[in-house]
Amino acid sequence: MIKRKIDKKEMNYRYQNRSWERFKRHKLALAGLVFLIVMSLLALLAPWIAPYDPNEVAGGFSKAPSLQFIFGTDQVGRDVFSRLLHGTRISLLVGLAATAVSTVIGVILGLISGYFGGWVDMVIMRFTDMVMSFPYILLVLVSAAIFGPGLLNIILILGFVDWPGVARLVRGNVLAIRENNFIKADLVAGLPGKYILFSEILPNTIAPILIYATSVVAISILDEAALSFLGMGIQPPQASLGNMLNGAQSLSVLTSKPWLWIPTGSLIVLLVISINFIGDALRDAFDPSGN
Amino acid sequence: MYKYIIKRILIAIPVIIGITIIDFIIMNLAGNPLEMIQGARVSQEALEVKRVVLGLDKPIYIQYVIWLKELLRGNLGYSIRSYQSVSQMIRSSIGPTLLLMGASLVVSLIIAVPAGIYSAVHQYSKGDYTIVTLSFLGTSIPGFFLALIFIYIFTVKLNWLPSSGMSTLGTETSIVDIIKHMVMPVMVLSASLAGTNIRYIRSAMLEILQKDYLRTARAKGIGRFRVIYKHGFRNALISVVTVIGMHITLLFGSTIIIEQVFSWPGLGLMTMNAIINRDYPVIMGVCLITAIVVLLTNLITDILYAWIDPTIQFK
Amino acid sequence: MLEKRDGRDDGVEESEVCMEQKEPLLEVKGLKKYYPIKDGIITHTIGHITAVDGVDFKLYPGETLGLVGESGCGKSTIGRQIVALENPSEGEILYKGRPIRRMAKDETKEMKRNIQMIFQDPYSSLNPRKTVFEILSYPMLYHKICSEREAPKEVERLLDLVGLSKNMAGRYPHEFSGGQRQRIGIARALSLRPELIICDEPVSALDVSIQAQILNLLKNLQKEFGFTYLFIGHGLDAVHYISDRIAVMYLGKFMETGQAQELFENPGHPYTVALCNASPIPDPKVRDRNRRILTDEIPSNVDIPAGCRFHPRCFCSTEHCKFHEPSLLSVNESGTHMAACPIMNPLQRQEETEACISI
Repeated sequence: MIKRKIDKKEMNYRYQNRSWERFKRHKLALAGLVFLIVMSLLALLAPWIAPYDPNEVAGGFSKAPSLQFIFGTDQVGRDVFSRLLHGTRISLLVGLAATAVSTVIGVILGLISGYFGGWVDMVIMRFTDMVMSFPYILLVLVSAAIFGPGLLNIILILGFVDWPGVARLVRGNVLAIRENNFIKADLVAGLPGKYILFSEILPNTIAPILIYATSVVAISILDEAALSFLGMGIQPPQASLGNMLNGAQSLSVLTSKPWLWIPTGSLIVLLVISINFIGDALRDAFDPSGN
Repeated sequence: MYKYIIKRILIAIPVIIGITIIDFIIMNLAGNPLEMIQGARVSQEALEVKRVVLGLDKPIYIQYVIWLKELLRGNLGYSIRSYQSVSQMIRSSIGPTLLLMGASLVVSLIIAVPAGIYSAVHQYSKGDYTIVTLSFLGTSIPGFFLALIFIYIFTVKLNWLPSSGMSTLGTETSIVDIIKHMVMPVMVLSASLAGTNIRYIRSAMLEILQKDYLRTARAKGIGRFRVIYKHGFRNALISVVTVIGMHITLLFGSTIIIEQVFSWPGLGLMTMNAIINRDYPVIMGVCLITAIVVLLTNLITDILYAWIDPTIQFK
Repeated sequence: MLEKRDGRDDGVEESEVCMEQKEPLLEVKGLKKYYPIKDGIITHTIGHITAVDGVDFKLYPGETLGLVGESGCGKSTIGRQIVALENPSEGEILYKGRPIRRMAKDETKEMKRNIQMIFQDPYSSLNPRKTVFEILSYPMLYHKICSEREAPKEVERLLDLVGLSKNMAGRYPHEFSGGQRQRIGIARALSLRPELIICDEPVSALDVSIQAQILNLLKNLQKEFGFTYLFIGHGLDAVHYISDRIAVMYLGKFMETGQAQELFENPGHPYTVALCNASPIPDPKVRDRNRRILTDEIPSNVDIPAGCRFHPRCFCSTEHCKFHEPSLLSVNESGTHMAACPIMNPLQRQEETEACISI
């Protein structure tokens, strides 16, 4: 790679500026971004700002919210607010890490498939079809049953199941970009394949990958919640937003202890909707046809 | 056209074979598929004899062929827990699930099509913003959480709707009773589906509304309603068909979870029980059947898509 | 620094005189390109699209050969095969006497540096995510034309050469107009100091006012550095303006080749006549010209008409033309002007056709 002699920062700024202008028009996305940043900070700092240890029995069983426990305590007397902070930490971690895993796999397979074409493309795409045919949640549940629940396993399982969408997206983009004359000019000049692939094609697929990845983060957070809710995900006592809702399956919690499930559920909704709003605004901001 | 269909089917065959291989491998990770086929009532003494009879001493690819042969005969194996045949179990529980899925699909389209079109036609209006925001809410809310909210409101507080099962115990099964039981699960399932579909239909319609032929139609003086429905919606329909194909998989996934919450006696509940009991023959049987169903659905939507869209060439 | 090549300072004149003695830079022999049409449940080839159907020509150093014809006649396919973006179905392409598809690795690299291409669409020919500096510098560094330290200076010089301001190096493609982008595309082709530049309809996507600027730029660069051009175009005017020699192509074959001026003034093929007549004459007083303009659709290149492939659209075709495919024959005594039409050929003119060629 060549080192830039010209002030790259300024140039990039000019390019990104247009996108930022368009992003800013989405008020809900801005609100989502602010909320997400605040929640990420709270989650990151959870060990220091949480009033109690999330696994410590701090008060009476299932106490309603009070000044001492602002979201009350759960069935074994742990502080719900502290568990929420730690649960957010786990949920965001699972969302981001699973997305990272699936994006890496998807990008590699998609690049190979689109760039080389031929039988390599055939094999990869048919394999993608196969994985996509298995109902997603079922595959995750079965894998969780076979490999056992737990943080690392959940991340890996979600990551390994989510890649086909990314792979298809990248492949489609590579096929479209490959038709551009600037790639042909590279081929005419005999430039090496790895330059064409990584320096010419890949940067042009970053925006769609990023947009897609935001939706994968949202889906992964939802999936982790569903899995943990069913008891197949993050195992107690470690708090996750999903397994905190597990208790709400009992009718007494549902009917008479709303502080045990309404704040947690609402937090999941807010996190996921923020990410989805951001993804939508990004799509608009990077849309080449937009104005 | 016929050529296209046959070709599309031929492409699906290696995928189906691949699916069976993946299924077989996962079963090998979990235990032994051939033993699962035979059922678990194996006497200790006959174990060694059994091994040979089942072909467990043979190399793995021959084991796969034996398993595949059984599969083609409709033998998906036997449950480790209940000793029932898996195909029998699937047959008896797939009905309620299909009922739930079908109803949700229809309801979600009934919501999404008018909402999406309204949103596109009145782009940037208050109504549009409301619909789009609600659609985001629909896709962002975990199904089980929405289910809990519904149960809290409609069962606990208002006592309008039953929250579990498919019919009230001890009463005679009536259609009204089943519908009453269906209302909440269908509402939950169609919420997320409608959320996605609204945005899809909206953007498809927006794209079409900007096309020159629609401007021409409007310029000719054809009424607004006819322009939108005759020229616009027909073309938007094409994109809807593809979405439905894609969403069958997702819908099936959420059905598994929602059946659990509402104790709906379908495939999802059965699968979840099997997963909790580590009843692998049942799990993998369901996996295999659903994967093949999904593949066939995709095949059908592809063909439908080609049939609706005259610009697709059958190559 | 792009250096002027030795003994090329007095340029074009010399090359015209010595053309016959010089080694051709590029030689194309019996070039054919078919694209299979596939169909059936188990895909098999059911026919071919004939893009190029047997073409021979030589390209001498310092000259410009113009390839002209309607869209779909295979002219761009020839260009793409020379730069190895496509493989010929049959025939050979020789660069300095050596076949381009059978070269050693380092020889290929050197050849790829020496043959560059300018593309038709200036919008897709520049990576939107890269600055002009990045676009121009990497190929030069890869081919070791300049060091990393010299790159900024070299890029500035290239921009200067193609008539862009030096401080544009830091800009992104979307900040330029179509004509400016085409200049950057030309700069990229120049940057590797090639011998041969394939110009694939470089002006067809541009405004008329800018077309002339780009053509003049190409001409001036040739004068200065002695490039050899293969200029592909569909308007005879632009091709005539820039070319020393012209080859007229129709459905994958050459119909007529010759010195630009002579071919233009004294066309030897009815198709050339029609192409000449197709360009508008910017003089309102000239009316009622006896123009022979092609009106019919170009036949499909899946099944090419038997006999002379132009006969269904020809204004002077005879019964003979339907069955006998003519080959290129000399039209003038010196043999520099060839045409594939025995009927219009003054050297073997037949009485019955006299009337139809009086234009």
